[in-house]
Amino acid sequence: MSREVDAEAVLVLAAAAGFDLAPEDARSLAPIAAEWFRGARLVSALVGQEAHHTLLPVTHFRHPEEAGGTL
Amino acid sequence: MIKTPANDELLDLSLTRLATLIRDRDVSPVDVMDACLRRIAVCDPEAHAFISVYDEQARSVARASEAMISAGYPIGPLHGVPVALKDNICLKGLRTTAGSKILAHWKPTEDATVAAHLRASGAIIVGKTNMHEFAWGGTSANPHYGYVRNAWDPSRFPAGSSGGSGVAVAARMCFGALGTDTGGSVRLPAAVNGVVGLRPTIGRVSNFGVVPLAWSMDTVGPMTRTVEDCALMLNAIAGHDRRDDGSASVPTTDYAANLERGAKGLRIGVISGYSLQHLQPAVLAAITNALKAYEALGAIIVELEMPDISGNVSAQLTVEACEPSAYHQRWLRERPNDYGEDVRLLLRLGELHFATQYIQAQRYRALLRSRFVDAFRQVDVVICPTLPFTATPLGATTVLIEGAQEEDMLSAIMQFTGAASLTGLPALSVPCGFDAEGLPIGMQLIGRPFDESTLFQLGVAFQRATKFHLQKPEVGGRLERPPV
Repeated sequence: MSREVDAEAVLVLAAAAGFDLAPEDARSLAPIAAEWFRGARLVSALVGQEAHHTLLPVTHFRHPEEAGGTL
Repeated sequence: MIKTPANDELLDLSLTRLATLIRDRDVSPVDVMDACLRRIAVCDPEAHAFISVYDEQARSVARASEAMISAGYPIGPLHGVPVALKDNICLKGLRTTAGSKILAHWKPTEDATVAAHLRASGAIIVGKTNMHEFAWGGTSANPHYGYVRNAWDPSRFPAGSSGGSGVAVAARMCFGALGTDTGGSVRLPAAVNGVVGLRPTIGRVSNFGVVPLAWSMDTVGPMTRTVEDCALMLNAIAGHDRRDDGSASVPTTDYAANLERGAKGLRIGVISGYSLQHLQPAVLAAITNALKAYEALGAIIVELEMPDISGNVSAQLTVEACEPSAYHQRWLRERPNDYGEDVRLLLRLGELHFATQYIQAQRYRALLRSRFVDAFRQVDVVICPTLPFTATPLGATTVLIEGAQEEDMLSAIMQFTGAASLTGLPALSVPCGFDAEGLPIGMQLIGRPFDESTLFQLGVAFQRATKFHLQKPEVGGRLERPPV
């Protein structure tokens, strides 16, 4: 079981990202970061290592027939 | 001199009907513009739907518009029709704030492609609408330009981020408006304000000249009172644009043609454990009734399995956290106090994410898209609510959906809009009912890539069979009284 993100972890991450954060801001961010990171882990589990989902083309339907279009 | 009906009747016309009356010289563009500006003057001090109103310019253009139509020179299908733009869409020489203090005095040097297209079709831009700051949020509670208020109940939120556009259309301050949709920002305010909103297929409409939120999901979309109006506006703005790298070089069609083909034989997908789950009771009832209405019209309801859709909200939050934080990185360091508190927090949150989280979210998008492509072998559209609840009190950051558990607004509001945003598929929000307090409910139809026409066809069929879109907000009724 990994440790949840807390205010201390947020301060470390902010420093690594290169911006200053007041302790009270870190406390506000921590529960949201913890929840969103839990969600990110769920997403990682869904895509899995074995699946061959690539980044291209993720969003742009330049060839609608290939993408299931009807044109 | 063109004869014109009374102001109240004018403002209640659909965009399509108004355009026809102007073309036939039965209605004066000057009178229409006067009526809209009067409505804005009375309504907007409370609604905060607009950041800028171009009274003088709009009247001047309306006079020119009348002169041209009188001389037999219609500019295009939207000749003389007053429309509004969300204030993250650039107009040359006119400030474009994106709802922010940071861009409060920014005057772009070029028009956004969509703005140029609307002008070329004859529409008159009456003003720029209020929004969630930099479009990063779903409430339109803007700390710099005022909290936008719901058109049906000013004590409620209008959703967002295109809240001003939704309210302006619903309260009859204009006949159509453009919003932008990243995670639902056209569809959500459309639903909550009882109007129609389209998120087009990604790449269908140019983003050139639009202040970005999350590049890989951003798109401009029209908001109107009827589905026909929405199709007419999409006609004006759709098409390939070489100035936008994300623009799709796919031919457009006449979206306003063949709208009356009905729903018979079309297959509407309901995703098990998703489309009808975790809803306020009134929303569930409205969507259930919409399905019955479609069945009565001859559509076929098909149940779909798509277990992977469970990750859609988290994937959307990850992408929407990271991409805006990249765009705002410099300002966030140099001018952190010029952001509203909520947006500053979200932008900082985005900077805390790991590259692998973002990449996995992008890979999930490919997975989800493949699931929808599979689903479209069985169905023509997928249906779900636009959002699981009706308008919450102004300023609320949590919402009750089921039971007594308060939920975070941002995650809850994306429950149904995320799938189309992540996959890039087109999605149409159509009014489909009201709750016990008279607050509007919207349903969402998600279609195949570039198949906006089928969404419009089904939307029109529903609006022919129901009258939800014809109901007016009380605020509009109050505004019909002469200004004091």
